Amino acid sequence: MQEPHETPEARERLEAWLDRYAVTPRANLEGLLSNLPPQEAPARARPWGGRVASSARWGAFIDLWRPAALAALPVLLGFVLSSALPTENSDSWEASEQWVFAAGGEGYYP
Amino acid sequence: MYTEAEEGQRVFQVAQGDRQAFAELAACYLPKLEQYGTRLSGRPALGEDLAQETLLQLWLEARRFDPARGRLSTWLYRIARNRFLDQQRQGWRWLGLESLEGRDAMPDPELEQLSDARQVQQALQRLPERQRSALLLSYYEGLSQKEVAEVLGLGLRAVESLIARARRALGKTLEEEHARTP
Repeated sequence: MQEPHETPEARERLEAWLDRYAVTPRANLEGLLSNLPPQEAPARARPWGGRVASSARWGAFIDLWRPAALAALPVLLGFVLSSALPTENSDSWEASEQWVFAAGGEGYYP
Repeated sequence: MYTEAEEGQRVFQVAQGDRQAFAELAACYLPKLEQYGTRLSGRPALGEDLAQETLLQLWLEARRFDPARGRLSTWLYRIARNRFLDQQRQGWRWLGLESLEGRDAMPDPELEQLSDARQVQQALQRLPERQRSALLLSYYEGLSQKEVAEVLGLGLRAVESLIARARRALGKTLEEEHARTP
């Protein structure tokens, strides 16, 4: 317990003072034991769900959607690529007949 | 005193609703928590209430105790200190001012008989709360500096410094009081 800069005499005097401050416990153990409230059931055991059950529901929801999203990914990718790539028989997207017509130029008139 | 493993086992039993295990732990910790609470607050009635409230929290929330994170004693002292700080912030509304005044107006026979003890109590109350807690936990409750650091949520160096400052300040106050008293 000796601290730096504390002389042994000062330490002894202080500890003699501290030892005079005795506290006699008076709390009533029997009273505490006889008045214990019922313990709450853990959230996991609650039939109506709580935080744990709720997060489990979200977990199941995410688990269902994750494979569905993965399966849809190639379809989405195909759709994006097909609309972005130039059509057949044209050098570029801008040179396509539809583009020229839409821009007010010489379009294709059937 | 129980070993860490025995304590952990008993807390697990308490979490399962075992009243006997709780009674054993309460018999061990109620006096310690009351002494700490009384010296921390300077009021025997508050010390008693803090100890009871802390053990009630153990009964209700034993499943939250994680033996891997520290001993039961440090967990309980931390709860008691946090409750003390909460109540202090709320201005002791939890007890009701009338009840507090009524109970603390009753003379504590030991303190009445021992004016020295009264002087120590008053000198302790003049310390900042963290210094007071660090000193009480290390000197009276016999906690190691590492355990005090866990209770206060501070580093080891900070606790060393707090205890040293508390001892210096307390020593100075008591010397001055003693010199003034005939």
